[in-house]
Amino acid sequence: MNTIGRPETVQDDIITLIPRLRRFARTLTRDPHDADDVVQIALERALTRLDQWHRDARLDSWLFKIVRNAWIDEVRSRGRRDRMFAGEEAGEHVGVDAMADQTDLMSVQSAMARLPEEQRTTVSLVLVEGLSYQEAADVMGIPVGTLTSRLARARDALQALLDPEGQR
Amino acid sequence: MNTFSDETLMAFADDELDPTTRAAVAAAMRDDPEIERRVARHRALRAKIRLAYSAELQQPSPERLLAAARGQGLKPKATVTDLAAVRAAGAAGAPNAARTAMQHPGWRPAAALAASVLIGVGVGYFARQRTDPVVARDGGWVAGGELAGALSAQLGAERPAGTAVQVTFSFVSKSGDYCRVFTLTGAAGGLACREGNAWQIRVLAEDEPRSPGEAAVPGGYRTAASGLSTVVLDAVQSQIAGEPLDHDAEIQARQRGWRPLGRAAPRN
Repeated sequence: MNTIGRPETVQDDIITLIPRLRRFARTLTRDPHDADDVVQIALERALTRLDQWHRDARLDSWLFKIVRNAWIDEVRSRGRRDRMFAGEEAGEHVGVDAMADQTDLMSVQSAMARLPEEQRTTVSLVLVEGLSYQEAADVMGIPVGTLTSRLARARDALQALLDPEGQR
Repeated sequence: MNTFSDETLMAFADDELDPTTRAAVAAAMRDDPEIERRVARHRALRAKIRLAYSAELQQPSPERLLAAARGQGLKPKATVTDLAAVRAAGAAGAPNAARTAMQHPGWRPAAALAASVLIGVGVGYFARQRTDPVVARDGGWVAGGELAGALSAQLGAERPAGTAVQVTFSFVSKSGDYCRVFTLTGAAGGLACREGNAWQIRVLAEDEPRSPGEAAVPGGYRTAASGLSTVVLDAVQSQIAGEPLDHDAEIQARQRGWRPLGRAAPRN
């Protein structure tokens, strides 16, 4: 079925991107059910807005942005954004707390889950999904300098969680 | 000796520097083992994170997401009942909604997302039920009470006296799960699929009675499905693999407890 008057190849491309959209959404939401719900909402939105996607832009970046916006809308509608997301400030100290009682090696996923949302998103887009700094900054709607410092803080926190012995 | 900020070394590891700075860092790395070590650390972390998330790409995509990507989402046909909104309305004093909210103290806000599968089902429907036919679990919806029992026990051709549930037919979904289409007397019809130890509600929609003799769906699920809403039938069409189960296949499926046949253990 092609309800949007576009070549079906775009929809095929979108379908092949679903595993990556789910992976990104899981990092955002930290819950696999919420992640799939967010991806479903994003896919439905994407199909209605295919005319807004420019062919010279990366399809994955465009979809990541829609996924992220769907999640932001959802969280906002739940009215618990403040409770769910620690601020950037809290994130900077996360490694210190973990080092105090953490003896076993922590999995990457659980270390990621401790980061504030903006840092998780940054790590996910750049290090997991392989976007450039500029592309990731565009997805998040922030200047590239902000993204760079966010990524550096996130890396510091992850390094502290994953390799507490390591010295800079 | 050159000094570089950690952000610059990170950007070098990520191949994000302009050619001039990149060359300067590369030269400094040759002279200073400490700079080399810091860059290596950034590269190692990048590789570690990428590897840790690579396995997630192997998971098959759920049918509902494939359907959404194909433009076969379930939304346009009817009003979506957002149960979190229902719950909020209950708190504000709407009588039916209030009663519903009372009966479902466990409904958590996260359920608002999953509620998009509940289509056009009025608040009054839930208020009429003695037991909860649908209960929230893990951000989704599963069959409860009489509905769960009927989905596990009833065969498609049966209509036991006094029951509010009729299972109209069963099929195997494209993801290999057993799914069953059902109607609840005078209220709603839906589609539930067996996942784990529960019947996951994929769609629940208000009845849209059809005129007698009207074909339910181009493929023809005949009179058994003729009272079902089009959203349910659309969901069936997008999820069914092959044909509906015949009587013997349903009996066999029931004997196995509706566990998928010959499917590898779910990956997680």
